[in-house]
Amino acid sequence: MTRLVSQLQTRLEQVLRLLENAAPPALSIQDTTAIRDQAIGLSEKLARAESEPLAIGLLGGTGVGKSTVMNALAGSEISTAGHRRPWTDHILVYRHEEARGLPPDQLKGIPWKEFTHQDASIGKILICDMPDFDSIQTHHRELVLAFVKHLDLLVWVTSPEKYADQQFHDVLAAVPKARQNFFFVLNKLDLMFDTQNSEKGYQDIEAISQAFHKRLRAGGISEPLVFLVSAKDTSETLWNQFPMFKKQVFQERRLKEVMAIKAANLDVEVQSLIRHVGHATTRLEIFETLVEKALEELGSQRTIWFEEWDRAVAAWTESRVRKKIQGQRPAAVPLLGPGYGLALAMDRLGSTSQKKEGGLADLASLPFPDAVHSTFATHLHWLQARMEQQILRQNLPETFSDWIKNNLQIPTRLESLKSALTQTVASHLASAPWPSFSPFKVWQGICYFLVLAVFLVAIGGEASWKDVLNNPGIKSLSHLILSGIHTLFGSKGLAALGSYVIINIFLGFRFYRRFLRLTERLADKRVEALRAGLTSAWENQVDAVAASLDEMRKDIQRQRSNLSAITGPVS
Amino acid sequence: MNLLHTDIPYPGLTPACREIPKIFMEIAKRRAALHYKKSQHCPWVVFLGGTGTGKSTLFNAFCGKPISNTGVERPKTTGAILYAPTHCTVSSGLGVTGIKIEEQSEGQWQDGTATGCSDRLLILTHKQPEGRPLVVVDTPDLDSVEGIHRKIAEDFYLLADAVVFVASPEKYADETPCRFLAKVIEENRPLFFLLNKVQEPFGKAEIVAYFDNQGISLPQGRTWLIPYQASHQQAQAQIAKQPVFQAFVGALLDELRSDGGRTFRKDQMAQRTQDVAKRARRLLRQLEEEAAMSKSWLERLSELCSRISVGLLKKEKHRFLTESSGEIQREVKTLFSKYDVLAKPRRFIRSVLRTPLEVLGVLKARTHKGQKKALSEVRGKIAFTPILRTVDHFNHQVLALLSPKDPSSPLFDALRKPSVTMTEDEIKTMILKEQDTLDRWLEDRFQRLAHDLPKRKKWGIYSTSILWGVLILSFEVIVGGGFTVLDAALDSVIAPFVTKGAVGLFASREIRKIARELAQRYEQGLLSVIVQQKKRYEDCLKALLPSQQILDELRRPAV
Repeated sequence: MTRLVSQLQTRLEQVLRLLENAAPPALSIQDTTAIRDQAIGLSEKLARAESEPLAIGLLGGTGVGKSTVMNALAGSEISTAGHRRPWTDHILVYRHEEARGLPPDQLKGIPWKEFTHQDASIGKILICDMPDFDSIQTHHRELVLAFVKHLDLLVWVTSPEKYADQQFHDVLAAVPKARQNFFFVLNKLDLMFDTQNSEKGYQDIEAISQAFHKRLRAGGISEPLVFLVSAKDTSETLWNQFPMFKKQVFQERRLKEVMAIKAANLDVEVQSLIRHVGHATTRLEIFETLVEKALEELGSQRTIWFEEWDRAVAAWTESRVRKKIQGQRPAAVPLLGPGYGLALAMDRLGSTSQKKEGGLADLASLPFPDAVHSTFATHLHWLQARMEQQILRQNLPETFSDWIKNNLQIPTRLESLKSALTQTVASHLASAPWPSFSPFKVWQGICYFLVLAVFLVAIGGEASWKDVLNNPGIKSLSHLILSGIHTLFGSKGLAALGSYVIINIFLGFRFYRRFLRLTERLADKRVEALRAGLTSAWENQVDAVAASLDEMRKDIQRQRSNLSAITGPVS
Repeated sequence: MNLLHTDIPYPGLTPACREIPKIFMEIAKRRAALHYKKSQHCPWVVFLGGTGTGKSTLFNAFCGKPISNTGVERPKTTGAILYAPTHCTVSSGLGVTGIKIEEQSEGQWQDGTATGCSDRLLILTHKQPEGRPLVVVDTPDLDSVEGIHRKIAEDFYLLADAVVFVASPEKYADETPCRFLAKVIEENRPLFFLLNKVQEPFGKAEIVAYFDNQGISLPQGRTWLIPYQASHQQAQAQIAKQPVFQAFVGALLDELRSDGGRTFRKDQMAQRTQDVAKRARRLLRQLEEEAAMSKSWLERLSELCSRISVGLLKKEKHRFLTESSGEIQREVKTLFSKYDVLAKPRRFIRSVLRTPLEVLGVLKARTHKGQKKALSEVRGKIAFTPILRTVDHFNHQVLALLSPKDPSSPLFDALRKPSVTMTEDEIKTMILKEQDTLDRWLEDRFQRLAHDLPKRKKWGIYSTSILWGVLILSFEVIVGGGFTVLDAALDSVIAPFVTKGAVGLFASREIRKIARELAQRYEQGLLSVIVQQKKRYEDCLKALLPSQQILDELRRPAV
């Protein structure tokens, strides 16, 4: 028996710990408070069980003779019986003058009277006569149901007229007490013998008893302990079981037996409390599937999210970033001769517009355009709304919505995505070393040199060049120069000069274009790198969302196992 | 139309909505009872009371023979037992009330008492010439632990012309019978109150005072106290002999017989009709309230729907038009270029001018897309995701803002049925269908343009080109003082661009027209899904509104 008590204690402790550590959102705040209060009350009751007297309650409808039974038990007229219905609206407590009564703080608002006696043999019990629960005074019923928690043994009094009343059986079913702590008293059986012959009387009693037993069994009380009595005339007759009933009520109970009675009642109450907690398990189960579904959806939507994200990023990089990167020029333009001149002219032409838009440095410090991360926020909001919709659909309490909100934390995530993106942009754009352009420069030099060489050969003339090559010396060299100058001012020379200039301009254009292409290619590479960086920042955030949802799922599972540890059998 | 076999649907938007099925059922029963009563000329006396009060004993005493079984087991009487003279033809038309019957004539039931059967009414007929033309009914207990017994007793109360309410000193204050007694008095049904099993020290005044205190005023001169009979066997005979019982019987018969029963019956019928009408009015009032709430609900739904539609359009239409207008423009211009007579020389001139620049890398080479390509690009512009999201958002908002908070409200469940929300596949199919329509329309539009332009437009293009040409020529002649070779060379370069301008002028009109129409159609296509989803919600509510037939039936006078 002490085992049951300790089991109950463990259970209640478990419940309290569960509520203390983390109030599961599956229970509303009101629920949590109610359960906590109830659990505390029960554990206090359990602690007090040993010291408190055994309380026996007389319950019944109006006119069944409760007061008569009470008086007969007490052996004196402590409770007045009358034909007025309903009779008593007070709870009468009958106790030994030295015994402890019911704790007064728990009887606030309950009308009650006390009678004391000196019979030491029943010093450890309290007898409580309750008001009726079936009269038109419905507050009596509420009073009874409120007081019933103070009772340990319940004596249900009824009569041949009332034993099949709906109210009697309804109240019986509603009382959260162990069924083995119920006694039933069928009172007023003397009526069966009033004037009719005793044989018929016995038959009637038998019929009533059987019908009553059947009715009780139908109500879920498998082995009801029924006493067939007449409290009016308690002298022992063949059929009147009042003395037996009295003995049953007044019997000396050892502490162990008292504890068994109390523990059985508490067990029923704890079970009902646990059932209440159990609702939370069902809700958590629903919620878990919901979160799982959200995770699945996140997985399946991810490609779509990514596409949209990529489009937004591409739109930004194409419209703003690429141009800016392309507009960047190395400090020393790697162009020679005419190409350099062209670049200078072009830059001057374009410089006005470039200045307006600001340089690359501005871009790095530029706040990231909303269009880009707004897609991320939109998706998360959608995911959240989707889960909230399911919560509404399944009619889960609002606490679950809060849970989701706290888990997803959209504003925080958005901020961290923003800062990650800004950082990425900064790191990609701030320091951008230019590669060496020397091969390009050398190639330009060679080209220009060759053209110059051909031009010089052309104006020098074949004979002079041969002379220089055969007899290198000042004489032949000056000869060559003179010949060159001579030719230059002739028609042939002018043609050569013109060709030389045209070819140089052409080369200038080609090299300038080549240079543009080179910077473009570099810009492409840098834009690509930037986009990859941004994408990985985005991916990180989406991963984080998935991880936190997964964490939430694990949390639910943990809570569920915590709950099932309580609702399941005690190990 | 028998309302007994009909359910009344209601959305459950008003706080008092849960009463509706109850009131409706009550009306259906009372109408059926009224209907039946109209065809009956024998008054019904119904014995009602709690368990063990001795209804059956008093019933037997009233009938003058042991008909209904009495005893100490509770509940004893399990179904209603009716005792009536054959000429009353009780059973004819009783089917209206939905009561099943088993009829036995005097010869069949003579030897024994009956306890009744909870699924049908036991009718026992007799042919005693001295018997009163009265239908007497014994009912199961009003406060029985068996729900079906309570229901039978309440149903037979509806058929009663006079109620004999039986109570006992032990039970008279019980809640269930008391409430019923209060109802009988409130409805003004002729009532005879018998307090059975009375022993000392009860007095009539005390009982009347008690009930007065509870707000229940027992009928004047119709309360009798029947003394306690110790022996069950002889109770019936002994009670019948009691003067007080005989006084009760006398008063009852007097009441029913007054004026040959005609005025009594007329009064009763009028009262019943009024009662039914009053209840029907009350129900109709409640249903009207529901209907008014439903109307405002539908308005709120429309409002929500249009708010959400506007949001979708704002985002999507702009995106769609900016993305697709380029293609349309190109396409229309290509189609119009057919009427640009000088397009070829213009292209030649342009290529002559462009080529060196392209060679130098200043200009980029141009590319051109075909019609098919352009169309397919427009097609690809309708995206599923935003629409799916919007429908999701709509569903969420409906549940959050429009669903009743009370889970027992029928609309609460109806809105949460899985079949109400459109599935992703349904939405996609619908969007694809809409896209197809859009494509077909666009293709058709282009084809018509490609085939031939309306004459007016064609000549408009030509005449505009010529007019501009003439203008330029006359300008040159006037300003330049004659037409030189140089002018001619210059004009031959300018002329093709003049025709292009004219064509462009007309094309841009066409583009605007197409774009406007396309936008409209696209809008419709986009919203069709939302509209469809809204319709489903509307249907949800409409299915929960009572049919006109039921309302008409309720408005119709019962008889």
